[in-house]
Amino acid sequence: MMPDPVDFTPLLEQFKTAGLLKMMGDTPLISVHSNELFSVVTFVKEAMGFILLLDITAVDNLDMAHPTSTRFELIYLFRHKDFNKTMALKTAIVDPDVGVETILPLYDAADWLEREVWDQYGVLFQNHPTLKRILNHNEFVGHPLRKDYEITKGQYCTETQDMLDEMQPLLDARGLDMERDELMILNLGPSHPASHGTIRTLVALDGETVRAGASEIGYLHRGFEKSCENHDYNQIIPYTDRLNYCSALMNNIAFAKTVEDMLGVTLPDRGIFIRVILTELSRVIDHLVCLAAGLLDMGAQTNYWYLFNPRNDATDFLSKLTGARLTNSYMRIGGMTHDLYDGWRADLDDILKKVDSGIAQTLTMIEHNRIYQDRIQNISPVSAEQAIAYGFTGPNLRASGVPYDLRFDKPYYYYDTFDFDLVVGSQGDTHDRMMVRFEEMLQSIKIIRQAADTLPGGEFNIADHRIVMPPKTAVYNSIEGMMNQFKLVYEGVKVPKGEYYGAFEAANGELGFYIVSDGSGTPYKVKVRAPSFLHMAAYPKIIENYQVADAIMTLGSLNIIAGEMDR
Amino acid sequence: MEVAYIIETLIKIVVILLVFSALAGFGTYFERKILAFMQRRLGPMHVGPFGLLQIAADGIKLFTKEDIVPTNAVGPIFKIAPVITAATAFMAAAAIPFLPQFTIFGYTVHPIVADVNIGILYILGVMAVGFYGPLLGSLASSNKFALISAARAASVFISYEVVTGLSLLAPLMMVGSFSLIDFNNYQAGGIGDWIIWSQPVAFVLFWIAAFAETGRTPFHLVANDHEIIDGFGTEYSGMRWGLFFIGEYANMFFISFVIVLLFLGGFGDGSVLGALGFLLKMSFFFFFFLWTRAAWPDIRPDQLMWLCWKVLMPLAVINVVVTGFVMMF
Amino acid sequence: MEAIAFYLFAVLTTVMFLITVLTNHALYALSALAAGMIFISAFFFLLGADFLGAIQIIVYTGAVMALYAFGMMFFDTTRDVVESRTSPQIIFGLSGLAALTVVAMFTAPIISENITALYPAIDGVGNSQMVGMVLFTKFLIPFEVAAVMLLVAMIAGIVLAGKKMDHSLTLMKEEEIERETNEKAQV
Repeated sequence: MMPDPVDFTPLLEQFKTAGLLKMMGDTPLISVHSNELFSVVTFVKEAMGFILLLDITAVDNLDMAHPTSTRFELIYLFRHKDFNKTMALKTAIVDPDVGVETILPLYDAADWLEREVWDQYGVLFQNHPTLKRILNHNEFVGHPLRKDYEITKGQYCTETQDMLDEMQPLLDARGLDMERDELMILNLGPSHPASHGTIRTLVALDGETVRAGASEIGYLHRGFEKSCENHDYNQIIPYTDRLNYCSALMNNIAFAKTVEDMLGVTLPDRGIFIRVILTELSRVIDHLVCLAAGLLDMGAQTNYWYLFNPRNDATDFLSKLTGARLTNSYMRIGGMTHDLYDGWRADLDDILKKVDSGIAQTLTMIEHNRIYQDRIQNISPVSAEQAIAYGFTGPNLRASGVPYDLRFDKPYYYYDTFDFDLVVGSQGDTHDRMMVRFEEMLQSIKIIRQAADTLPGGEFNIADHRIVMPPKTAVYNSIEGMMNQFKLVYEGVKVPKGEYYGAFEAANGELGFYIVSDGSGTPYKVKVRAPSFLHMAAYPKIIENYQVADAIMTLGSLNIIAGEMDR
Repeated sequence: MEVAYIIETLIKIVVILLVFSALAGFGTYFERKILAFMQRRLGPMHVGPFGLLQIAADGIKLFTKEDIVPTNAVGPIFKIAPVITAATAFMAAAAIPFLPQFTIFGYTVHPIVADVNIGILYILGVMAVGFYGPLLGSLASSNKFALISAARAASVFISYEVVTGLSLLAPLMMVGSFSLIDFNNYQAGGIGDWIIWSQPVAFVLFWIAAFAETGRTPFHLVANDHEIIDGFGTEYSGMRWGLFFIGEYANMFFISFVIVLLFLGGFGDGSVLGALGFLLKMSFFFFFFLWTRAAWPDIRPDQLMWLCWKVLMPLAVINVVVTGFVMMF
Repeated sequence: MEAIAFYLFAVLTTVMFLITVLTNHALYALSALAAGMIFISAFFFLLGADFLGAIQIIVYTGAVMALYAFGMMFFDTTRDVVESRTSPQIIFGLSGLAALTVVAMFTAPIISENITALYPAIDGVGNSQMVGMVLFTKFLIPFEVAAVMLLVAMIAGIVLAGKKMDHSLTLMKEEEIERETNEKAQV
């Protein structure tokens, strides 16, 4: 069942300067005048029901072959409240130092997203309260994603910021005073045993209660998006491994799928089924890591091994299949490197059995444990409206009771044919965030079993050798094969000119790739919509008025993966 | 005072110090092994047979590690704090009878350093002083995580000292003495005489409080690594940190002895069987400390306070009152 | 032997309390105070008053512990406290004089006569039993009064720490109180 196409005529009628640029798949890309941006976004949110802000990013047109009207353009991506429709707005920035009006009053998620655009592209957002660097170091000079910033130009940054410029307004807004209320400023992180990855959260403590918090990220920023602009599509795949390193294969698949959609090709059924099996296995692994580490954060040690041992077996399976345990790089544009090995089914069944029993044993230990329940129930609850405003997706949004799962709302890869359930919570507290993950693992196992049972035979890669490497026999024995190999290695997969937003239900939420292609083998721009980035943006707000011990649990239950957050 | 008495006491002190220092080391080994088996792994395996020499390796590491005193720390107090923990743990051992008296080479040995008639009070008092170790260590470290740990230590100590005292009051009323030997003799008649049967509430309360006093999971708040790094131990390194550790493990052993002596008949009639049973019972309680660590998560500081003041303390008071009425009529 | 121990602990106690008074450092002061309190208990043990010795440790470590808890909250314990003393000589002189007077007042009548124990230790009766007997016979009324006072203090503490601490009838206007009582009546 295909969803209705987005009806954007009211928008065009309301705003005369707006116009449809093109359709990116079924996502309309509408151009908007920068002066009208705020009112257009208000209209888009209130009248058209696009309540979830997915991403904000910019494009630097400096190197475009055909000159455009302005150098910078901003892209806003929205998702409809039915969750099956997306829409994109594009606005030309005349002067980046003047920029556009912030949309922070409409979407809480815009806070960090706008900061990131300013950091990377230097486009100003007027009236944004804390427009400062977020991914790059505070001493960094220049804007790295501008095309005139040399990729090789490194900078030494040494001084840490004290973050009080962010903390002080928060305290003022709450009527708190450091001296009078005897608050203590404490750095949770960047190297704290419970900050999964290097994340710094500055908290103002009253006793042990968090009164205000501010997070600093970017410790793991490696310039993924800049690197993408200098590598061809297949070379990017290993980089995607490092996004959410707990479920690397999922990132591979999400990226490959987006590029394949741009190319307008679909994998043969066997390829799709293999991808489904590996996606769901990665989801299981990701949730296992999240829950094992999250439970360890409250001292529930034994559960760590009950959950991590099966995870270890699963990575052994991946190692046997792909040659690597963690960073698999198994996918290619148009398929994957090789087929499943002989006897994979027995290994997979064995793993699923172990995961099943690991989950069952962990649940036996914690489900009716009073200490456990007291520690996580009603801790940092996020209401459905708040979760959407923060831009939550994935298990964290579903824990708040919002039934949004791309596998249901906009099924791809035959997800509509599998028999599994959508898992939702009710309170959106730490308990729900964890329990949703437990149940999702069981559902994923169901999908894996069904997909493995019905795995079709035949080819797993698409037959087009302009996209997929020809077999070695063809390379050595035929001139076409030789040429294909040569072109693919030297130039990469040629993706048609245009832009596209591809969304994928990853373990942590909606993993999106917004790709701009200039027709060559190297993307002109790649922007990752990383779910953890927005979850982390909300984290300092939702831990307020809970204790340090709760904040640690909340961080664990949100499953922040620094790799995809910092990129 | 006889010279023989002084020599005997000195020998006893040395033996206790040696045995329990070593046991504290072995305690870590037991803990790692038992936890490992509960968690389906092997634990230490590479140093010596079954990893037995791991303790030696750990000891060498702790002794040879650089001893760092942070720049802003209050030096003298920072240095003395771990000693307080270890010293008080062993001082408490002075009033504990570890075995029934026995005769060796015609000389009767009382395996207790000082049979003071207020043994229990003495142990409680010295253990209370032991809490100064983490507290002073935290305050002197000039570290915010240590400061939180100090606040937790102070509140946990004040709260659970109340529960310990009140829960002991009821059995004390029954026995009418503070001496652990008197407690043992009161229960010497066999399993039926054990105080646990007449004072089950006091037993459970004291046991729970023992977890708080030794700072073990689920009350492992003072040095909860997930939240406040290592609490008071954050700035410590090498053997100073090791002394905290020895103190913690020695305390676990001693409190296990005390629980058995108070509620579970101690060494009974003093026969070899009784002595063996005594050690077995003690081992069970030590094992239980490790078992809970494998089975339960930690609770939050405010929940610990809630548990203490709203559940345990009223229960203890009611228990005392009920015991009083029963004894009167 | 006992004399050696007495003088040793006397010196230690005095030194500890001197440190408490003389230092500018909150942490030193409090540690020394705690140590001094513990050393005092040694005198009780020397006199055979084991019960009082143990109680001394428990009560004073407990009490000082509370002091610590407060000390932590009010001071940066790793820094010196800046005191504002205008003329330390006068303070020192006055307090010294006061202490001397107190000592003279209490020792003068005692020195003149032979010191005898009011409640001499009885062989075979435990320390705690003796304390109990005295408390529940001769000092029964002070004991009960102290108990009542503690009870009052406890209830006061609960009231103070209770949830409605910021809810003060004296600070409310008449109408507010009236409205509130009406609401309660309706419920």
